[in-house]
Amino acid sequence: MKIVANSKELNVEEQTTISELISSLGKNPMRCVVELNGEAMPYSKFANINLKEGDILEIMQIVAGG
Amino acid sequence: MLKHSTIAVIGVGGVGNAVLPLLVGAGVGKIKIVDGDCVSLSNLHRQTIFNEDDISKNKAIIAKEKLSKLNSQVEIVSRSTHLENQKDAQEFISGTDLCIDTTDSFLSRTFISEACAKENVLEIACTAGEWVAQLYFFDKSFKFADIAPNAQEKAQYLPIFPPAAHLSGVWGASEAIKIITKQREFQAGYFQSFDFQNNKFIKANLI
Repeated sequence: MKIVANSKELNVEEQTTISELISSLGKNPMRCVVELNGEAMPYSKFANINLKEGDILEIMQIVAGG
Repeated sequence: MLKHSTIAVIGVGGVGNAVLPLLVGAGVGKIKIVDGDCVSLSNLHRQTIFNEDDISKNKAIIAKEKLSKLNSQVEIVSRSTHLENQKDAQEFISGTDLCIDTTDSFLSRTFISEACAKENVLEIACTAGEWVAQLYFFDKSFKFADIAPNAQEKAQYLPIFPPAAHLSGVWGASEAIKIITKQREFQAGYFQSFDFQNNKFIKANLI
């Protein structure tokens, strides 16, 4: 199925969780905030959400620089 | 209200350098600052309180010297050693109205957030990395660990686009002044982010 992550169209398998997607992109899901279809959420909320066809995500890495 | 408030600013790096002049200029009554690092040449492009004469001098001490000349009515207390752990952070922020965390590691952000929760001090975490500026509100109901579980990573020294560091600091000062003067309500879980690569701004409540 097709989803959009950070403005890029991607093909992902059914039942893929947001955490799995983020890991597959080489990022640590526990260091990301995600906006799913316009709703922002931390890891504790998005960890086990399954992606659906047409989902639009913005994956933001938590930065810790000062 | 500002005159009778005390704000702790932890870290005098790129973000802290943007926060501090705005708080001092605005007339916050007392500001506690802490940083164990010394100024280096590679800091100067974004740590604009400092100049070449300050290299190798402690950041918190130099910042106090310079900011006292900006507004002598503000009481500035400086500490020239890093906060080591949660207990140390608790002692430093105890009795303050607000804490602004501008440090540079997940480890320090974790224990500072825990310290704020324990001392019941409202926290604004201002941060930057590469092209991105971010700001978070934490309190005892929503802490850094709620967005970054088990975060023990030390500073990684990623490059930071200087305007991202300053934007984060400007946001922190702005929100602190608004909260102290009751122009806005503190809302734990509030988050905002700006990416200078694509100019995308996001604000949200993470709770």
